[in-house]
Amino acid sequence: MSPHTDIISETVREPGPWRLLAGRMLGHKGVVIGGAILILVILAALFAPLLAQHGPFQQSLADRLQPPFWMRGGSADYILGTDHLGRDYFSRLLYGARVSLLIGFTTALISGTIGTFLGIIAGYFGGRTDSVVMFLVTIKLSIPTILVALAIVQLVGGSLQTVILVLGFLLWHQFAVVTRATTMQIRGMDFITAAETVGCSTPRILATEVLPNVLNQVIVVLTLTMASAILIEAALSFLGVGVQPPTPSWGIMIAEGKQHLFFKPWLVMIPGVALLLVVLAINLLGDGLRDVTAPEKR
Amino acid sequence: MKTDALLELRDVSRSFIVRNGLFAPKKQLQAVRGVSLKLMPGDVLALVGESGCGKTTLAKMLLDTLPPSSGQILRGGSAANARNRRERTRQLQAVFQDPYSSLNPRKTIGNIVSLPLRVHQQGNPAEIRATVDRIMNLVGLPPRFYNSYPNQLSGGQRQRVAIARALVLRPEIIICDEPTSALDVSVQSQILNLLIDLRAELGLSYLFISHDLAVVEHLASKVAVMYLGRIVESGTARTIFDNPRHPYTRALLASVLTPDPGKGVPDIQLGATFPNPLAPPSGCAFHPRCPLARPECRIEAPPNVVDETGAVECHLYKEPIL
Amino acid sequence: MSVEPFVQVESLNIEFATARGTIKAVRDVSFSVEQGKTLCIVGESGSGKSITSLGLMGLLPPTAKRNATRLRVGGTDLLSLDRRAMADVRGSRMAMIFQEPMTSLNPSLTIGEQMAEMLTRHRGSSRKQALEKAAFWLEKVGIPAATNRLRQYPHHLSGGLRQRVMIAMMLMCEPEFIIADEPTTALDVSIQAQILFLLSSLQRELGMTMIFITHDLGVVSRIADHVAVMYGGQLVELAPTADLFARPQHPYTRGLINCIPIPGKTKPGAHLGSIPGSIPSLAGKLQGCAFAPRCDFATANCRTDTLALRETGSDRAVRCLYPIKPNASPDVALEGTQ
Repeated sequence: MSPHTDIISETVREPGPWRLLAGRMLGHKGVVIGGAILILVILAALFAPLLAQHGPFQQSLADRLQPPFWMRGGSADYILGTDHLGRDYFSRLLYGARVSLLIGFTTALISGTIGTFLGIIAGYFGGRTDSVVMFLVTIKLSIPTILVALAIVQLVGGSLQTVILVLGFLLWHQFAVVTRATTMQIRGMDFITAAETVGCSTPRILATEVLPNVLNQVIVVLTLTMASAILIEAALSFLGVGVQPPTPSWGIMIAEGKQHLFFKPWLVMIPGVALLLVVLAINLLGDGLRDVTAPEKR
Repeated sequence: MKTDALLELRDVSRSFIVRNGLFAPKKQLQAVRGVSLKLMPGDVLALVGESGCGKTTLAKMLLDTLPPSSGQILRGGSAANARNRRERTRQLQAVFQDPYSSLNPRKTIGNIVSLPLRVHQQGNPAEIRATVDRIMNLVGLPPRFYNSYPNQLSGGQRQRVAIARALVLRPEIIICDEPTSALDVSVQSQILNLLIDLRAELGLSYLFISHDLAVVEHLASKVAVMYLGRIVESGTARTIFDNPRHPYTRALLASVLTPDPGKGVPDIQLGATFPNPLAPPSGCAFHPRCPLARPECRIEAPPNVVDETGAVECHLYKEPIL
Repeated sequence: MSVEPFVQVESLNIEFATARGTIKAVRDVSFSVEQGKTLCIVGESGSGKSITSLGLMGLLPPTAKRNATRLRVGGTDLLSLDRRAMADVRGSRMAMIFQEPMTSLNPSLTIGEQMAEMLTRHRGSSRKQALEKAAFWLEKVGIPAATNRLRQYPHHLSGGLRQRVMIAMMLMCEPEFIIADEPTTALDVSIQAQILFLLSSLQRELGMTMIFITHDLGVVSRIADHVAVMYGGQLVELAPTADLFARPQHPYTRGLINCIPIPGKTKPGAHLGSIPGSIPSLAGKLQGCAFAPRCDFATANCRTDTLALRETGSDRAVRCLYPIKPNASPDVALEGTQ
């Protein structure tokens, strides 16, 4: 029997879902600007050894508290001046970027994994699983994040790893809420029933049918969590319970520059502006992604 | 005990606990009440009914996504259990109503159609690809759609993808849940023709759920009419359409508006009250709307009368027609 | 003595500006409806039938551009009215029934309040009078226990009852003109028949002019006096109902009629007629006949020429270079194709 040739050849109408997303992302100002800034910062952090003129730990007490090159007394030797121990501020800034970005990414990944997993199983299985997860979320929401982070880090002792782990376990709730909602929506769709009918095991369904459809939302929350993580880390380091000196963290730099705030304001302002810029860029990116991934037409 | 029915339901019921608000008492919603059905090889059994009749719940039980509260579902003569689940998924597949939600928007057509083969590990990637290509050709999808995404296809094309996915494991039975209701008229006939051809060519049996009686009359060999969770009448398509016995069946048939200029709209006299599945009427569930209701209809549920033309549940038919 | 048709639409064009360019949803649509008669606009998705009615009623979104050479209803020139005046005419002389009764009824007001508002606003009745009339109309549309219903909220009622409430609300003001856009599509089959019966009896009783939009040819054949067939934004055929079904002139119309299974006429188990391909996109440059890509009889001219709606008989018009002649082969659908 001849196959059905009812179909007249037509050109495929529009790009597939991933292409569409990419197109929309590139057309959105927030995404482009925020993304560009972020990429620049990442590149600067990656190529820090090449860009910095001196090491971030290199002390030179003779050159301490030099101003940045655009102020009187500054030199091309130390573009952004030096701190109270004579360390090159530009290198410390670049290496500090590494710390911030590292913490941002890894924290977001850890909390993202925890939160997405919990959210998906809550949304998919409903019932008791859902109640338990929502209960956990409620508890998590009642915890004052920074205070608890402070307390734990005090107890255990501050370090890069501690900060990452603690924040990873404190910032997952947004993921859970968002993926739970999306999963509940998807749960009722026929393609899930079809996968069950075909004999797909539940873990497979969760990974291959549900997950790709929540990724949009997850990416948005990922970026916004990164921003939070970076800010919280800076706060913790500022208070002395985060990353420990001599590791350059923007929070530490602000803390160390605090006492010179009136006469040598650049010591605080430079890392402050850097923080502002990075967090702003990430937030622009995240908000833009949220706009772009908002109810896609089905 | 093996019978030769491909699919059999014996006195299957399903109820849900419903609670309206935190402090309201729990109520029981009986979606399906004591349904018995047999699907024989080669049948196109149509399950007809309107909203609230329980056909969706019944379909879910057949697909194993919902267990029955009581009764048995037999496939190929043996009851369903965890061990033969794999085998059962190969025997029974489904095509759903909404072409827009039955395909994962983030997967390509090739990925969607090949999924059953990969889950059941039917061959290496090359063999799988060959099978998918063949099936796509069979349902009338151009090969270049293999790498396309559902949002790039029209409703009719998506439904073809859904059919391809259902066929790829060579099932014996396909449950079609309103497969053309969400499609445009000109596309509906394409898909119906496809279903007719596939049945002939592949020796399939269909359980066809629909509210569209014109389509049912065209396609079905047997019909079962559902109302509020029970099958009120069943029989061959010819019997049901030529000699409907149950007043509800008659009203449904009278509601079918064929293109007949000048005939006007019939007054089917069903009354405006709509049954509440949470508080079904006493006696015969249909009596509040039945134009032929008698006093006994309110008191006693009608017996199920089976004869050679089919089965009917109505006080008007107490004795089998001989 | 010729009376001006109650509804006159000439060269209606509606465009939408979207991110992907201009979409010409309605192109050069013209028709008229005599007073007291029913016109059914038939089409599938993308045909522009709903948008045409929204355009007529002035209910298009701000992104839409509408122009027409003539838009008259009941002697009033709609093109000259501003939004406020149009809203007044809509409320008092025209009524519109939509497909989804749940979204047309305000979920936070009781039925009684909503219905009464129609009358107090457009007819200046007192609240007491309005409620009495509301109860009267609920009974008229077959809703039992009408006075109780007035105190209920829309979500208490089933779909069929809500649609009846919609109808009652719309007809309470005794409009001269009513547009019903797929009012029964979302309802069960048996309810559909009842609602249609109700609508057509009320229409006859009140002498209203009605435009009924649907995709269901069966419904069309039963309630329409005239039929307008739309495809891809264009009006492709206009004819009295019996003529349309007996002798369709446009290949699309005939194809559509052939697609439907008709109990008693089409051969069960045989192939139904079908129209290959799918609905065209309405964006971009549109040339020629919208149906040409799917038409068995299309020629090169069909794809390039600008086609006009031509009269082909009494009350009939068709937009086609090669309309089907009356003595062409009989309708294949009725014997079933193979």
